[in-house]
Amino acid sequence: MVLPAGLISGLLHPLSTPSHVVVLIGLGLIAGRMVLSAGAAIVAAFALGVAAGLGAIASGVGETPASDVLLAAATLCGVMAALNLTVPLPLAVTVALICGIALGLDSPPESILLSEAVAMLIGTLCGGLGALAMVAFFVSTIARLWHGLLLRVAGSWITAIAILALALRWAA
Amino acid sequence: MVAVGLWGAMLGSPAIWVLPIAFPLVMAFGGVLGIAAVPIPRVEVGVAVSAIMLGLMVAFALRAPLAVAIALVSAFAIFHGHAHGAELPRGADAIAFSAGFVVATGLLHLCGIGLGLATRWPTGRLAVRFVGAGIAGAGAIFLRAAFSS
Repeated sequence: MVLPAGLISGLLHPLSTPSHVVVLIGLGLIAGRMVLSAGAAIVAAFALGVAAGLGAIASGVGETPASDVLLAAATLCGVMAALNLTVPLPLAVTVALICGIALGLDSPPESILLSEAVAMLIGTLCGGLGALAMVAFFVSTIARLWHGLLLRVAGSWITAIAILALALRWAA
Repeated sequence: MVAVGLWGAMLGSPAIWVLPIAFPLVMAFGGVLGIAAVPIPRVEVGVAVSAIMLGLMVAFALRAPLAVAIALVSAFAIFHGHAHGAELPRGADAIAFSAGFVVATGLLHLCGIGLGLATRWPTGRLAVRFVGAGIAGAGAIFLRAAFSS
């Protein structure tokens, strides 16, 4: 079986873009600490957002500040995880939706061939969704370890990385 | 950075995990000040004094209330963050630099915590205090260099 050209690069796109990795970990920290149904709602909202963002890309939306939005959202997620805040589900779902839209908008296909570009967009959706689900699952398995200390430390690291990256982008 | 972990381990819970969480957050704030070229006077002196102070805290096994420990470590984190932010080459990859900076800092904290866990044993406690004295001594050398530059 031969996979459509562009699908693999689309699948790997969220994992090969550092700002996407940061936001996926940040959002995973939020989703993985919640009960299963709430975590699933967050992942679903993220998927919906990515689809919307990729749809906007497919319909020809130009350059957007999506990268900055991703880093700002990662900062928010990191702070909530570091401070071990109980995040209300509506807020978490909204943040997930925004993250998804921004990730989609920040993932323009690199191919000019229509079939390849479509395969890349589908791959990006599947890759982002799969990555978030895996991070959330991993977080849920270690959530109780050392009273959640690892997750709080990870949250502080994500926050610091996102804040510094934002500052550097604006300084440039 | 190692001294932060050592001191946290000596102070025990909750300082052992609060300090490594607080430090990167405040350090990022200091980094932003450095990137934005907001001047902080004598940053190198602040970094050297932080090594001396935290080294002495470990060497003399001094205890402090959690709020004081957080305030002290946070104040020093601003100097560290500012020093790195100000010296960053403008063309550097934003995420790669930030991730490397934060993860390296965090791993140094973990090294300190790992070493600090040796305080459970009398010999380990003595060894950790010696390490603290060494850090304070290195800080004194940095301080002298900072004043002579």
